Amino acid sequence: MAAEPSDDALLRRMAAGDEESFTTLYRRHQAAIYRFALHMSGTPAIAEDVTQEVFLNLIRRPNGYDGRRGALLSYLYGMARNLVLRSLASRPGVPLDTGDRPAAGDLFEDLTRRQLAAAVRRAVLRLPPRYREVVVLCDLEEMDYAEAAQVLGCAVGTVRSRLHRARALLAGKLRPRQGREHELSGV
Amino acid sequence: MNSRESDAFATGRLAEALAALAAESPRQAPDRVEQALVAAFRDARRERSTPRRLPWGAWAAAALLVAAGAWLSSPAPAPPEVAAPPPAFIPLPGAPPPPVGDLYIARIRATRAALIAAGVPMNMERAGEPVQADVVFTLDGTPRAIRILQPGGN
Repeated sequence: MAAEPSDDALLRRMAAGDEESFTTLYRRHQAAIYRFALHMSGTPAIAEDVTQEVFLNLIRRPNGYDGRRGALLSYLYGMARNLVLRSLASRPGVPLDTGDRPAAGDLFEDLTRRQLAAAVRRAVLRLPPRYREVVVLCDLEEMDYAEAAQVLGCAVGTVRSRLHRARALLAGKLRPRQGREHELSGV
Repeated sequence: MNSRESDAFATGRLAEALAALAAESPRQAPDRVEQALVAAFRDARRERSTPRRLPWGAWAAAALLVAAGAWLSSPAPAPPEVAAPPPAFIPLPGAPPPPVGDLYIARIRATRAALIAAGVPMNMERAGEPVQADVVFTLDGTPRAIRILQPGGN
């Protein structure tokens, strides 16, 4: 069984006009980019636009990626991140949680899996972007700290500390009302 | 539940909640995104493979500007000794007749090759030789006509 062509090889062929290489590259990476943009923005339309723009940039400037500086996916994430942050900055009305906290009591026991996901989605969207992006990359996309640091352009230690803080914020948001006396503020 | 237990509870369930969210996340972007991108890819490929045809004026202006640049960077030539009246201006191929007024003339020194590229009929065998010429431009920079000053310019 032939090995899958590398991203670099596909990109070279794509730059030479090979459509199949482009679609292979797209199908290989689009889901991660789309999910990242969706979790960051909470809006499918923004996620769709961001995904399209990321790959359009790749079509227009295939030589913009330098393989010596990291993996292609990290490069694509970096573009997606910039586009999402720009979109969030221009749209302060991004759907955020309106503050409807779960009632006191056995919160998690009462939630179905879907409700649990919805609750944490709202909580993630209420995080400041710098915390939201580490949660999305490390917890939802299961990226390791080094990869996330490359995408975010920061030190591994920064990723680690932001993630720690982000999880604490999330835990606070998901805690039942009666346990809110230690809830972390600042969100 | 004391505060420490509450924190542990929330943190432990947080991992579960995040896993639920990850599992519920969409698997991929809608198909229409791929369709739009493939169309864009084909457009880009077509644009790259089709040599761009610049309007005649752009080619001529570029060639003459290069020529003018070469002239400006070279030592100032001695004033041409023209015994006879200078030759008439020849409209550049494809250029519309120059309007009355709003014209200016620049004296250039260029290789014959540059002028040939601009559409001026010249002797190809001496393409590397420089010639001196006056070029009439309209104010928008479009070259309209040329006269070769150097004897034997053709």
